[in-house]
Amino acid sequence: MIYRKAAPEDAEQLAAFGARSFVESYAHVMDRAELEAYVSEHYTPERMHAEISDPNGACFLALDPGIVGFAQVRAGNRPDCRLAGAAPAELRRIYVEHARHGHGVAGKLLGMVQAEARLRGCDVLWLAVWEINDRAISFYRKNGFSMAGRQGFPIGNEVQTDHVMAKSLADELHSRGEA
Amino acid sequence: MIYREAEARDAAALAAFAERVFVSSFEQQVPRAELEPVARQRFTVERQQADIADSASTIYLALDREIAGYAQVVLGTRPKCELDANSPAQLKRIYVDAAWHGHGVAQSLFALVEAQAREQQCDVLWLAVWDRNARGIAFYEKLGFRVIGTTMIAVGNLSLLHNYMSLPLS
Repeated sequence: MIYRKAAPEDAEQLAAFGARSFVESYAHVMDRAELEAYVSEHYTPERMHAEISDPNGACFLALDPGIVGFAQVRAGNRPDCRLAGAAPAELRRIYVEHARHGHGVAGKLLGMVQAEARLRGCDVLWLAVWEINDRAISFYRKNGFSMAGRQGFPIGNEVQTDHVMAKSLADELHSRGEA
Repeated sequence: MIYREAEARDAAALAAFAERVFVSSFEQQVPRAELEPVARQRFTVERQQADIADSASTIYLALDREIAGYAQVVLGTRPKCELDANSPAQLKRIYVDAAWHGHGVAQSLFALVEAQAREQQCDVLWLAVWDRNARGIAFYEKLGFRVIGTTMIAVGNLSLLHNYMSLPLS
Protein backbone atom coordinates (compact mmCIF):
# COMPACT_ATOMS: atom_id res chain seq x y z
CA MET A 1 0.00 0.00 0.00
CA ILE A 2 1.28 3.42 -0.94
CA TYR A 3 0.06 6.67 0.62
CA ARG A 4 0.57 9.99 -1.12
CA LYS A 5 -1.04 13.33 -1.85
CA ALA A 6 -3.22 13.38 -4.92
CA ALA A 7 -2.02 15.31 -7.96
CA PRO A 8 -4.28 16.89 -10.61
CA GLU A 9 -3.63 13.95 -12.95
CA ASP A 10 -5.36 11.66 -10.41
CA ALA A 11 -8.66 13.50 -10.89
CA GLU A 12 -10.25 11.04 -13.30
CA GLN A 13 -9.41 7.92 -11.32
CA LEU A 14 -10.42 9.65 -8.09
CA ALA A 15 -13.79 10.71 -9.52
CA ALA A 16 -14.53 7.14 -10.58
CA PHE A 17 -13.43 5.73 -7.22
CA GLY A 18 -15.30 8.41 -5.27
CA ALA A 19 -18.51 7.79 -7.21
CA ARG A 20 -18.21 4.02 -6.73
CA SER A 21 -17.54 4.42 -3.00
CA PHE A 22 -20.44 6.78 -2.48
CA VAL A 23 -22.84 4.42 -4.24
CA GLU A 24 -21.41 1.41 -2.37
CA SER A 25 -21.86 3.20 0.96
CA TYR A 26 -25.36 4.55 0.47
CA ALA A 27 -27.13 2.32 -2.09
CA HIS A 28 -28.96 0.42 0.67
CA VAL A 29 -30.32 3.53 2.37
CA MET A 30 -30.88 6.06 -0.42
CA ASP A 31 -33.08 6.42 -3.43
CA ARG A 32 -31.19 5.29 -6.54
CA ALA A 33 -32.09 8.35 -8.64
CA GLU A 34 -31.04 10.77 -5.90
CA LEU A 35 -27.84 8.85 -5.40
CA GLU A 36 -26.97 9.04 -9.07
CA ALA A 37 -27.86 12.71 -9.31
CA TYR A 38 -25.60 13.47 -6.37
CA VAL A 39 -22.72 11.45 -7.71
CA SER A 40 -22.90 12.87 -11.22
CA GLU A 41 -22.79 16.37 -9.76
CA HIS A 42 -20.10 15.92 -7.10
CA TYR A 43 -17.79 13.23 -8.45
CA THR A 44 -16.88 14.59 -11.87
CA PRO A 45 -13.23 14.63 -13.00
CA GLU A 46 -13.49 18.43 -13.34
CA ARG A 47 -14.70 18.85 -9.79
CA MET A 48 -12.07 16.48 -8.40
CA HIS A 49 -9.43 18.31 -10.40
CA ALA A 50 -10.53 21.61 -8.85
CA GLU A 51 -10.58 20.13 -5.34
CA ILE A 52 -7.12 18.58 -5.74
CA SER A 53 -5.78 21.93 -6.99
CA ASP A 54 -7.45 23.95 -4.20
CA PRO A 55 -4.61 25.62 -2.25
CA ASN A 56 -6.63 25.36 0.99
CA GLY A 57 -7.28 21.66 0.54
CA ALA A 58 -5.37 18.41 0.38
CA CYS A 59 -6.35 14.97 -0.79
CA PHE A 60 -4.54 11.81 0.29
CA LEU A 61 -4.70 8.55 -1.64
CA ALA A 62 -4.15 4.94 -0.58
CA LEU A 63 -3.01 3.00 -3.65
CA ASP A 64 -2.52 -0.74 -4.31
CA PRO A 65 -1.85 -0.17 -7.17
CA GLY A 66 -5.07 1.69 -8.08
CA ILE A 67 -6.96 3.85 -5.58
CA VAL A 68 -8.36 1.81 -2.67
CA GLY A 69 -9.05 4.74 -0.37
CA PHE A 70 -8.86 8.50 -0.12
CA ALA A 71 -9.34 11.35 2.33
CA GLN A 72 -9.89 15.05 1.74
CA VAL A 73 -9.27 17.90 4.15
CA ARG A 74 -9.89 21.61 3.72
CA ALA A 75 -8.55 24.35 5.97
CA GLY A 76 -10.90 27.21 6.82
CA ASN A 77 -14.23 25.36 6.44
CA ARG A 78 -16.62 25.78 9.36
CA PRO A 79 -19.63 23.72 10.42
CA ASP A 80 -23.07 25.23 11.09
CA CYS A 81 -22.65 24.60 14.81
CA ARG A 82 -20.26 26.24 17.27
CA LEU A 83 -16.76 24.85 17.43
CA ALA A 84 -13.97 25.29 19.99
CA GLY A 85 -10.95 26.47 18.05
CA ALA A 86 -9.92 29.48 16.02
CA ALA A 87 -8.56 27.72 12.94
CA PRO A 88 -10.74 24.79 11.88
CA ALA A 89 -10.11 22.26 9.14
CA GLU A 90 -12.80 19.98 7.77
CA LEU A 91 -12.26 16.30 7.11
CA ARG A 92 -14.52 16.42 4.06
CA ARG A 93 -14.38 12.80 3.00
CA ILE A 94 -12.72 9.57 3.93
CA TYR A 95 -13.56 6.41 2.01
CA VAL A 96 -11.92 3.02 1.92
CA GLU A 97 -13.22 0.27 -0.36
CA HIS A 98 -15.08 -2.52 1.45
CA ALA A 99 -12.52 -5.18 0.56
CA ARG A 100 -9.89 -3.19 2.49
CA HIS A 101 -11.89 -2.48 5.63
CA GLY A 102 -10.20 -3.65 8.82
CA HIS A 103 -6.65 -3.23 7.54
CA GLY A 104 -5.90 0.16 9.05
CA VAL A 105 -6.16 2.10 5.80
CA ALA A 106 -8.68 4.65 7.10
CA GLY A 107 -6.64 5.20 10.26
CA LYS A 108 -3.53 5.96 8.21
CA LEU A 109 -5.40 8.32 5.90
CA LEU A 110 -6.87 10.09 8.94
CA GLY A 111 -3.39 10.35 10.46
CA MET A 112 -2.07 12.02 7.33
CA VAL A 113 -5.02 14.42 7.29
CA GLN A 114 -4.31 15.39 10.91
CA ALA A 115 -0.64 15.96 10.15
CA GLU A 116 -1.58 18.13 7.17
CA ALA A 117 -4.08 20.16 9.21
CA ARG A 118 -1.49 20.77 11.94
CA LEU A 119 1.08 21.85 9.38
CA ARG A 120 -1.41 24.41 8.11
CA GLY A 121 -1.76 25.80 11.61
CA CYS A 122 -5.26 24.44 12.21
CA ASP A 123 -6.23 23.80 15.82
CA VAL A 124 -9.38 21.73 15.36
CA LEU A 125 -10.40 19.05 12.87
CA TRP A 126 -14.12 18.54 12.36
CA LEU A 127 -16.36 16.43 10.17
CA ALA A 128 -20.01 15.84 9.43
CA VAL A 129 -21.21 12.24 9.48
CA TRP A 130 -24.69 10.93 8.75
CA GLU A 131 -26.34 10.17 12.07
CA ILE A 132 -27.14 6.55 11.10
CA ASN A 133 -23.56 5.73 10.04
CA ASP A 134 -22.64 3.84 13.20
CA ARG A 135 -19.49 2.28 11.77
CA ALA A 136 -18.03 5.67 10.87
CA ILE A 137 -19.10 7.29 14.15
CA SER A 138 -17.36 4.59 16.19
CA PHE A 139 -14.23 4.91 14.04
CA TYR A 140 -14.12 8.66 14.70
CA ARG A 141 -14.73 8.19 18.43
CA LYS A 142 -11.92 5.65 18.60
CA ASN A 143 -9.67 8.24 16.99
CA GLY A 144 -10.43 10.97 19.49
CA PHE A 145 -13.38 12.83 17.94
CA SER A 146 -16.39 13.79 20.03
CA MET A 147 -19.84 15.16 19.24
CA ALA A 148 -19.93 18.91 18.65
CA GLY A 149 -23.42 19.45 17.21
CA ARG A 150 -25.62 18.77 14.22
CA GLN A 151 -26.18 20.15 10.76
CA GLY A 152 -28.31 19.37 7.73
CA PHE A 153 -27.10 17.60 4.60
CA PRO A 154 -29.36 18.37 1.63
CA ILE A 155 -29.60 15.51 -0.84
CA GLY A 156 -32.32 15.43 -3.49
CA ASN A 157 -35.51 16.77 -1.94
CA GLU A 158 -34.55 15.69 1.54
CA VAL A 159 -32.36 17.11 4.24
CA GLN A 160 -30.60 14.45 6.27
CA THR A 161 -29.22 15.13 9.73
CA ASP A 162 -25.48 14.88 10.18
CA HIS A 163 -23.59 14.76 13.45
CA VAL A 164 -20.74 17.22 13.61
CA MET A 165 -17.76 15.66 15.38
CA ALA A 166 -14.57 17.49 16.30
CA LYS A 167 -11.09 16.82 17.63
CA SER A 168 -8.66 19.37 19.01
CA LEU A 169 -5.29 19.47 17.26
CA ALA A 170 -3.79 22.29 19.28
CA ASP A 171 -3.58 20.96 22.77
CA GLU A 172 -2.70 17.30 22.39
CA LEU A 173 -2.24 16.89 26.11
CA HIS A 174 -5.74 18.13 26.80
CA SER A 175 -7.42 16.28 23.94
CA ARG A 176 -5.77 13.07 25.05
CA GLY A 177 -7.54 13.37 28.36
CA GLU A 178 -4.65 14.11 30.68
CA ALA A 179 -4.88 16.54 33.54
CA MET B 1 6.52 12.17 -1.83
CA ILE B 2 5.05 8.71 -1.36
CA TYR B 3 4.79 6.77 1.88
CA ARG B 4 4.81 2.99 2.16
CA GLU B 5 5.98 0.13 4.33
CA ALA B 6 9.56 -0.96 3.78
CA GLU B 7 10.11 -4.31 2.05
CA ALA B 8 13.10 -6.66 1.94
CA ARG B 9 14.38 -5.03 -1.25
CA ASP B 10 14.71 -1.68 0.60
CA ALA B 11 17.26 -2.94 3.15
CA ALA B 12 20.44 -1.72 1.44
CA ALA B 13 19.08 1.75 0.64
CA LEU B 14 17.66 2.03 4.13
CA ALA B 15 20.98 1.09 5.76
CA ALA B 16 22.87 3.68 3.70
CA PHE B 17 20.28 6.36 4.38
CA ALA B 18 20.13 5.73 8.14
CA GLU B 19 23.93 5.69 8.48
CA ARG B 20 24.22 9.00 6.61
CA VAL B 21 21.44 10.77 8.50
CA PHE B 22 22.58 9.48 11.89
CA VAL B 23 26.09 10.87 11.36
CA SER B 24 24.96 14.17 9.83
CA SER B 25 22.39 14.75 12.58
CA PHE B 26 24.88 14.56 15.41
CA GLU B 27 28.28 15.46 13.90
CA GLN B 28 28.11 19.00 15.26
CA GLN B 29 27.76 17.67 18.79
CA VAL B 30 29.69 14.39 18.73
CA PRO B 31 33.02 13.80 16.97
CA ARG B 32 32.64 11.88 13.71
CA ALA B 33 35.25 9.43 14.97
CA GLU B 34 32.76 8.40 17.65
CA LEU B 35 29.69 8.44 15.40
CA GLU B 36 30.91 6.63 12.33
CA PRO B 37 31.74 3.25 13.87
CA VAL B 38 28.43 3.31 15.76
CA ALA B 39 26.52 4.14 12.59
CA ARG B 40 28.26 1.41 10.60
CA GLN B 41 27.51 -1.14 13.27
CA ARG B 42 23.89 -0.07 13.86
CA PHE B 43 22.85 0.31 10.26
CA THR B 44 24.12 -2.77 8.48
CA VAL B 45 22.08 -4.17 5.61
CA GLU B 46 21.61 -7.36 7.63
CA ARG B 47 20.09 -5.49 10.57
CA GLN B 48 17.74 -3.59 8.29
CA GLN B 49 16.71 -6.87 6.66
CA ALA B 50 16.05 -8.38 10.08
CA ASP B 51 14.04 -5.34 11.21
CA ILE B 52 11.98 -5.34 8.01
CA ALA B 53 11.26 -9.08 8.41
CA ASP B 54 10.43 -8.78 12.15
CA SER B 55 6.66 -9.12 12.59
CA ALA B 56 6.73 -6.94 15.73
CA SER B 57 8.38 -4.09 13.82
CA THR B 58 7.02 -1.89 11.04
CA ILE B 59 9.13 0.54 9.02
CA TYR B 60 7.55 3.31 6.96
CA LEU B 61 9.49 5.01 4.20
CA ALA B 62 9.05 8.48 2.74
CA LEU B 63 10.26 8.30 -0.85
CA ASP B 64 10.91 10.95 -3.42
CA ARG B 65 12.48 8.49 -5.85
CA GLU B 66 15.09 7.94 -3.13
CA ILE B 67 14.51 7.57 0.60
CA ALA B 68 13.86 10.97 2.19
CA GLY B 69 12.91 9.67 5.61
CA TYR B 70 11.76 6.69 7.59
CA ALA B 71 10.17 5.74 10.86
CA GLN B 72 10.18 2.46 12.76
CA VAL B 73 7.65 1.33 15.34
CA VAL B 74 8.15 -1.79 17.48
CA LEU B 75 5.34 -3.47 19.39
CA GLY B 76 5.69 -4.85 22.88
CA THR B 77 8.99 -3.34 24.04
CA ARG B 78 9.20 -1.32 27.25
CA PRO B 79 11.53 1.39 28.54
CA LYS B 80 13.66 0.79 31.63
CA CYS B 81 11.40 3.05 33.66
CA GLU B 82 7.83 2.99 34.90
CA LEU B 83 5.36 3.05 32.00
CA ASP B 84 1.62 3.12 32.51
CA ALA B 85 0.68 0.91 29.57
CA ASN B 86 -0.97 -2.44 28.94
CA SER B 87 0.21 -2.68 25.37
CA PRO B 88 3.08 -0.28 24.61
CA ALA B 89 4.67 0.44 21.25
CA GLN B 90 8.08 2.03 20.78
CA LEU B 91 8.76 4.75 18.24
CA LYS B 92 12.26 3.41 17.67
CA ARG B 93 13.44 5.80 14.96
CA ILE B 94 12.22 8.69 12.90
CA TYR B 95 14.84 10.12 10.54
CA VAL B 96 14.31 12.72 7.83
CA ASP B 97 16.97 13.97 5.43
CA ALA B 98 17.91 17.55 6.37
CA ALA B 99 16.99 18.65 2.83
CA TRP B 100 13.39 17.69 3.62
CA HIS B 101 13.12 19.26 7.06
CA GLY B 102 10.17 21.64 7.34
CA HIS B 103 8.05 19.87 4.73
CA GLY B 104 5.94 17.78 7.05
CA VAL B 105 7.70 14.51 6.24
CA ALA B 106 8.32 13.61 9.89
CA GLN B 107 4.71 14.51 10.72
CA SER B 108 3.41 12.22 7.98
CA LEU B 109 5.70 9.37 9.04
CA PHE B 110 4.56 9.81 12.63
CA ALA B 111 0.93 9.76 11.47
CA LEU B 112 1.52 6.32 9.96
CA VAL B 113 3.28 5.09 13.11
CA GLU B 114 0.49 6.34 15.36
CA ALA B 115 -2.20 4.81 13.15
CA GLN B 116 -0.35 1.48 13.09
CA ALA B 117 0.00 1.50 16.90
CA ARG B 118 -3.70 2.24 17.32
CA GLU B 119 -4.58 -0.44 14.78
CA GLN B 120 -2.55 -2.93 16.85
CA GLN B 121 -4.53 -1.89 19.97
CA CYS B 122 -1.53 -0.24 21.61
CA ASP B 123 -2.40 2.23 24.36
CA VAL B 124 0.90 4.11 24.67
CA LEU B 125 3.73 5.14 22.36
CA TRP B 126 7.13 5.65 23.98
CA LEU B 127 10.61 6.57 22.79
CA ALA B 128 14.13 7.38 23.99
CA VAL B 129 15.75 10.59 22.76
CA TRP B 130 19.19 12.04 23.55
CA ASP B 131 18.69 14.93 25.96
CA ARG B 132 20.77 17.22 23.71
CA ASN B 133 18.65 16.49 20.63
CA ALA B 134 16.66 19.69 21.02
CA ARG B 135 15.04 19.46 17.59
CA GLY B 136 13.81 15.93 18.26
CA ILE B 137 12.53 16.75 21.73
CA ALA B 138 10.63 19.81 20.47
CA PHE B 139 9.06 17.73 17.69
CA TYR B 140 7.91 15.05 20.15
CA GLU B 141 6.60 17.61 22.65
CA LYS B 142 4.52 19.22 19.92
CA LEU B 143 2.98 15.83 19.22
CA GLY B 144 2.07 15.52 22.90
CA PHE B 145 4.91 13.35 24.20
CA ARG B 146 6.05 14.05 27.76
CA VAL B 147 9.23 13.03 29.58
CA ILE B 148 8.66 10.06 31.88
CA GLY B 149 12.22 9.14 32.85
CA THR B 150 15.87 9.10 31.87
CA THR B 151 18.48 6.49 31.06
CA MET B 152 22.11 6.31 29.98
CA ILE B 153 22.62 4.80 26.52
CA ALA B 154 26.05 3.80 25.22
CA VAL B 155 26.94 5.35 21.87
CA GLY B 156 30.35 3.91 21.04
CA ASN B 157 32.66 4.91 23.89
CA LEU B 158 30.27 7.57 25.13
CA SER B 159 27.49 7.17 27.63
CA LEU B 160 24.75 9.65 26.77
CA LEU B 161 21.82 10.77 28.87
CA HIS B 162 18.53 10.00 27.10
CA ASN B 163 15.01 11.03 28.00
CA TYR B 164 12.19 8.54 27.88
CA MET B 165 9.03 10.17 26.55
CA SER B 166 5.54 8.73 26.22
CA LEU B 167 2.23 9.56 24.58
CA PRO B 168 -1.05 7.91 25.59
CA LEU B 169 -3.13 6.82 22.58
CA SER B 170 -6.49 6.08 24.17
